[in-house]
Amino acid sequence: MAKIIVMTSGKGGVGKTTSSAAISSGLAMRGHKTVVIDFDIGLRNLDLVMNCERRVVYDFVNVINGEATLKQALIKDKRIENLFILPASQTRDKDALKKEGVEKVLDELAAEGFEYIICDSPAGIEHGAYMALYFADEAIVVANPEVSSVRDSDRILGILQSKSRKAEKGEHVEEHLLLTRYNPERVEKGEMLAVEDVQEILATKLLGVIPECESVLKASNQGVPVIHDKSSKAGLAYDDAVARLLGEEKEHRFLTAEHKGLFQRLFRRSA
Amino acid sequence: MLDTEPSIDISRPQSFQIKGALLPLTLLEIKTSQLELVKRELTKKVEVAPSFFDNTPVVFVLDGIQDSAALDLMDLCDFCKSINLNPVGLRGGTDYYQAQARQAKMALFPSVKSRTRASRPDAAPPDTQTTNIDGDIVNNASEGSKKPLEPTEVSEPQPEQASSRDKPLIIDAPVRSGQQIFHAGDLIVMSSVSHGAELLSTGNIHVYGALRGRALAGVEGDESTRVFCGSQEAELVSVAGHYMVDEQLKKSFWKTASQIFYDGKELQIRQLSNF
Repeated sequence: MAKIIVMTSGKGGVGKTTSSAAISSGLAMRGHKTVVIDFDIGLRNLDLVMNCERRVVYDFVNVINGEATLKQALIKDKRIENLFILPASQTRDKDALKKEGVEKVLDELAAEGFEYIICDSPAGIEHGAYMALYFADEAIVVANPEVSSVRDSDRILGILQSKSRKAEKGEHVEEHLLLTRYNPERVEKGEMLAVEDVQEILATKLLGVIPECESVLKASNQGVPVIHDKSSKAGLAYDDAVARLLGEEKEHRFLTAEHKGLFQRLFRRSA
Repeated sequence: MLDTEPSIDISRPQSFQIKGALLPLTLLEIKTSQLELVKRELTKKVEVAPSFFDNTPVVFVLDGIQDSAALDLMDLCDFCKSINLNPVGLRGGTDYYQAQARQAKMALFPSVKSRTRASRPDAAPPDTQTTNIDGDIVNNASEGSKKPLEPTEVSEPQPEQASSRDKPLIIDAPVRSGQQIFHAGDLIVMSSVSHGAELLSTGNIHVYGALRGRALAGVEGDESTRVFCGSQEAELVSVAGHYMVDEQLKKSFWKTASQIFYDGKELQIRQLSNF
């Protein structure tokens, strides 16, 4: 049975696409056949982050409209076996997504033997975001530790539990909270919400905390999902999150600020 | 609920959606049957702040008139329309006035003050709504969000008697930002109510987690209803149209388990526990 997971947030720019790329890569690395779908029709980004923009021939909308087969549109990742990307159309808009069409593609992917279908949602709560979350079995809500992002996440959780297919059937969509761009130093100074504050407001199970890290921007620009970077904190934190998604117990790390000693500072300066 | 026709799934109609709403309305309390005096003074009032009164929906309250059948409601209605007010209903009123209102196809609202009025018939009700009309209008017009919260017709088609209540509604999941829950009867939330969420009940409201959004109890006018919460962090709390916002709420038992009720004069917040 394929598991459909939506990566959503309400607010834009919090790291949905980065997280979609990292988590789908992580699942595939652990041997699960995974596809990641870009629902951001008209603002296609996932292909850049996954470094396959030059290999896009057909896209999601083509498949929905029957202009191409699923096999033609799926792009196989060059680094990891078992990982496929279904890119968004750059020349269309969100209205090209119809519920029946999306359902048909998801069913076809499940029939192809995909274990995980990751839906990278566009920002907002309009049609595109609604289509991305409607069929979800589980949801990863991406939030930054600041009030507006947390408020929007709360809103999207409400929509998820009232408007999705599972909700219409009276079932519960499993929720996971992924907190990104977490900076423990700034939390200590009181400039950022702490993990506990966010969890108190959202009352949702914590999947992972991704520390703010230079490696994330670098990874996006180079088109290598950050989870491949085993020397970066963000990469390790995503790896932990994937393990938790698969049911493993992992302790959360990178939650507290490192207090640098004098020697470390001197060493850093000379380095 | 509605009567069901066998062939239609009435629980999920395709062509429409029925939602509860709490909309600002303006009350116009008439204190005399001398309609000419009312017309003169009202014209002056409207001239002061024409934009505030621009097509404002108005609900008449005629309980202040001594004679129970002295005023021609139709005449008053026509006059209001002529000065750009939009008469939409009558609150309370004698049978005579209610019959007139029906004839004018206006909505009838249940009388909120029926109990207190019986004991002191001529006292002005201690009501935020009346101060909005008698008080500083310009100030009110500039602060649109502080317009009176008036219990209006809500959600389900209402039975003849407004006091009828359904069984309590119990919600186990958190109420998220942007969600609005209306229930004709007691409303019980086992979890938290987020910022930007709204609870509306004709009865009491219980929130066992933190109440961070809005809670409006007794929306049909029952002043004996209360709001209870595990942690008082609300944006707005109202009992039968008497409301309290952020600043007042922050001063009293903030982040404390508390109850909010109406004591006949104003809303009171009390800490739970210490029994």
